Amino acid sequence: MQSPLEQFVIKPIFPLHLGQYDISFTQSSLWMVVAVVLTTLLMTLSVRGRALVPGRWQNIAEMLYEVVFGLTREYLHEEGRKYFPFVFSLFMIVLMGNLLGLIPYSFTYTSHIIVTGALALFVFGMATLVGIWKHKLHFFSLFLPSGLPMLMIPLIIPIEIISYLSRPLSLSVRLCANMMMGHTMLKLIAAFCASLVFLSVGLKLVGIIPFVVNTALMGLELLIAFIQAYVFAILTCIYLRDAIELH
Amino acid sequence: MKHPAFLFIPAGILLSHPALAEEKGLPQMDTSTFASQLFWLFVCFTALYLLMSRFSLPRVAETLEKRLAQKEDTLKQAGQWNDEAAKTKTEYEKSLVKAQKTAAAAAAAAERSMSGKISEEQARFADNSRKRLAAAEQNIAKAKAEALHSLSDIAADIAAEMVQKIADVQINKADAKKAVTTAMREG
Repeated sequence: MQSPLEQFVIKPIFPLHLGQYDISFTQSSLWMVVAVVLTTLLMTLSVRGRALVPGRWQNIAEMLYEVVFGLTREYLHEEGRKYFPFVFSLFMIVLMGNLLGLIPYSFTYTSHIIVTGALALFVFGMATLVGIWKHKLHFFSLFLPSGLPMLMIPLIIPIEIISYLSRPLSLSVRLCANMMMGHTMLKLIAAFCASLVFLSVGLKLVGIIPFVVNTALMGLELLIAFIQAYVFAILTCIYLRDAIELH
Repeated sequence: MKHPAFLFIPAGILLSHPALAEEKGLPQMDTSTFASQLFWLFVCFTALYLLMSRFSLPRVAETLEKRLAQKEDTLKQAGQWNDEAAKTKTEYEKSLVKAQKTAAAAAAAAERSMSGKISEEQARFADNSRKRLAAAEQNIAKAKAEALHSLSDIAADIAAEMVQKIADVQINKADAKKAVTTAMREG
């Protein structure tokens, strides 16, 4: 039996090198490009008519816009306008990665820790730089909650620093682990279903059970795909808010 | 979802799968693919960010703003119409009250003129009947006087005849009448 983790193996489509680095165009890259193209088409073609009463696609585009716009406004207030295109792009690239990955034989680039880690580190780095740029040295008061007894300070500061530094880790691991486990589970059950049908004639009908389970799981995975993208966007907003407002 | 670490437990179980033991381990940990993934993620994310911020999002925003403006316009128009309706209603109520007052005044005037006429008629009727009553009373008095007059004549005749029969004295009629009248007055 093929390993259910086989689906995460990256296969080059055409090799490419930049100096000593191997930057081959892989199926992972292909799906990233698909995500960018689809997002752009969705967000551009659907509002082409600028209809007052939106059609199906325009409604989807506006809903996505308003979900993310609502997030940035809720957490970052007026400041949110500046960060909205960034948070929206982040949300869409994660959402598209999660959703496109559910198509059989496609590839889920958000299941790779290097991708989610890079996005999370970028968010983390950006939030930290924004904080330092806005508040200069005062930014480090983020690690010192106000009204703390003197005795607690040596204890709390390392805890706060560790919790701050673990943010990109939890942000990236949460997303990639969710994607990976979901897809592995789908693949496992699908393979089980296929093996029942193809390997033993007598068990053909029993194969319906994992098939039904997998159908339900697919629905769950669709939900998780959206929720994870949403969580990623929310946490980005929260980290930015902490940097902008301190607390 | 709060503790993604627990998701690695099933991952560990999967990794201990004998089919996987021969392989390198998690494909995610294959560092030879990192450069390519990072490069293409950078390219795609930059492209997406530029497309979204420069191109797509302003269009969506424009559409949403247009709708919002239209909504506000419609609401304003509706508010105006509402105000107008309220004004018309007030005017209607005012004119209704005015009309009611006019009607009440007209009714009162009609009643007044009616009652004037009635009392006039009543006065005339009363006057008329008083006059007729008076005339009737006069007639009655006249008849009574005539009757009394003729009664004194008869009494004078009877008295004169009685005197002649009893005393055999001839008295003239005028004296007899005089005596009777005096007696009647005294009686």
